[in-house]
Amino acid sequence: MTPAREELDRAADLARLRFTDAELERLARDLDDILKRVDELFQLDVADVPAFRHASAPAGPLRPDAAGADELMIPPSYIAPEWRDGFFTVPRLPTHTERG
Amino acid sequence: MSSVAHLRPVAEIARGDISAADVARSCMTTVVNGESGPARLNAFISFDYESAISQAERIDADAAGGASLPLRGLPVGVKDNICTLGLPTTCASRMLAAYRSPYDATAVARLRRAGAVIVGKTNLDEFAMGSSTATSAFGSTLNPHDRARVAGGSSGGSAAAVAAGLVPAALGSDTGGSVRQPAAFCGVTGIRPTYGRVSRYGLIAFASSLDQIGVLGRSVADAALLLEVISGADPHDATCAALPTDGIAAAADSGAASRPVVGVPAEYFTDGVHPDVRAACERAIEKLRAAGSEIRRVSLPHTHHAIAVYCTIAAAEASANLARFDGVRFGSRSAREAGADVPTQTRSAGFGAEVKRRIVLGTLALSGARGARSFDTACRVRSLIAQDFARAFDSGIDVLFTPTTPTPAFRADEDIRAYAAYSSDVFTAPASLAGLPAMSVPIGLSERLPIGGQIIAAHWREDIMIATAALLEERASS
Repeated sequence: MTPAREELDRAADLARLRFTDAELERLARDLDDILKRVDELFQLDVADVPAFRHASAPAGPLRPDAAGADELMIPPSYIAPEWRDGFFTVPRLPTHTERG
Repeated sequence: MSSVAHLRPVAEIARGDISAADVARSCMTTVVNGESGPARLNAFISFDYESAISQAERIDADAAGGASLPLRGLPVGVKDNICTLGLPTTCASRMLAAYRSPYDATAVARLRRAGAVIVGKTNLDEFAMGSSTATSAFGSTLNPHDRARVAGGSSGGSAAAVAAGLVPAALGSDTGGSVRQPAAFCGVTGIRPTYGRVSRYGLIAFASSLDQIGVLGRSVADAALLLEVISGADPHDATCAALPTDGIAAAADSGAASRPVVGVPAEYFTDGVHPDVRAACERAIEKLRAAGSEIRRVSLPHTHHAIAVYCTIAAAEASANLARFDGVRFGSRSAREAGADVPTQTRSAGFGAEVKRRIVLGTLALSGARGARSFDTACRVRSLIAQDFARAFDSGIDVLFTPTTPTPAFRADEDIRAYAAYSSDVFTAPASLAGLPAMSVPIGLSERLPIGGQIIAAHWREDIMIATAALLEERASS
């Protein structure tokens, strides 16, 4: 079943993606092919079938229940080129105001 | 120094018969030469000659000091969706082209502790979404057996690198078949472990209920040794099981003695299977029978729903996992256009077409009127697929044997889209959905193109799966 244009527009908006009209037309055709197969699943009677769960196994060790971030394998200065007073410095966004 | 020192069996390299530094020089010279110029396969996105030599020299020093290193000096390629210190981790995407991970994935850390040398990052389909490596933002990987054909995907770079002798072993990841399918297309061994056998910490997530780090090697023994090293509980991954891992590698030595009861599911031998693939599988089944195995015909009746279930669940989970790439938390932020928000602009510019297609498909599966039914129904049908396997194994079957793919590697210039793009995963997706261990071993050729046979075992039974593969490998050479 070909997804409606409104359906695709909404999904693209939710996914924070932007498409041209031509891209949306192609997307609709591609998804139609897949969604036809997916819709076939609705013909199965699965009302009494539980949702899948992976095979159980002994759980692994948990990390200590302690506050604080994991120790880094490398110093913070390696991650970011600019670092001041314990904070990474990043480009200012236009929405930020100057603070005293 | 031999130019193929790095291609000895893993166990020989690890014995220290040749220094890790010499093995690394052999390997890196091969990689540099192989990945240069018009003849390159494009198996690697990045590699670092000096770093590899430096790692190897440290390993030699540690070994001389008495350190126990089961993979001493083994050069390994790592799929570029697995985090590594010191090398970029791009997921073959513009979105992460500049990303440098601040940590090693657990699987990588375990390889390093065992003495392996991390050579470079191998090519893949963008964010592991694809079956050809053609969706990589850094170009396709070519098949070493026929450069007009795909290497497979999404772990095509790892498979091609091993097949071409650039590295003796590599890590990949397998969501719906992305280790097994390229292993089959490139003629190497590829193992997808039981879900939960190997930590996913440091594997950049595609579909969290399906992803597993896997291994590719030139032999069953090589792949099994690598798998044992990277397996085991991890405090950083709550889905990783606390089960013993010793015995996984040793299973490769017990092939000749194993007499598994082998199930052959009818649903995997349909009209769509290439005649050469069918013939190779039939020969492999006869080899198992001649070795003393009982062969039983079985039925897995919900197999034909697997791709639709996989499409839905994988895309839904991917849409959630990739939401973090917004130019704020992660991802290369695109230049701001008037009227466009940063996340939309970043994601539209940073993701390729296939990734966007799957994100939209996943979003549809989780929202609106369709979403109310799609994901839930898919999860229930997934249970039916898993129950098919459970019934087979409960009946006394030790392993299932199937083709890995319906055809050999397809041509790189084939424009395969939409549902047809999943067709080469039709035999690998079901085991992924059920969380089962599965592997591909070379079982023949179609003209010059490799054919892979798939072995599937019950949960946590990598031992019998590997033993059966070793038996087939040993029989193939006799």
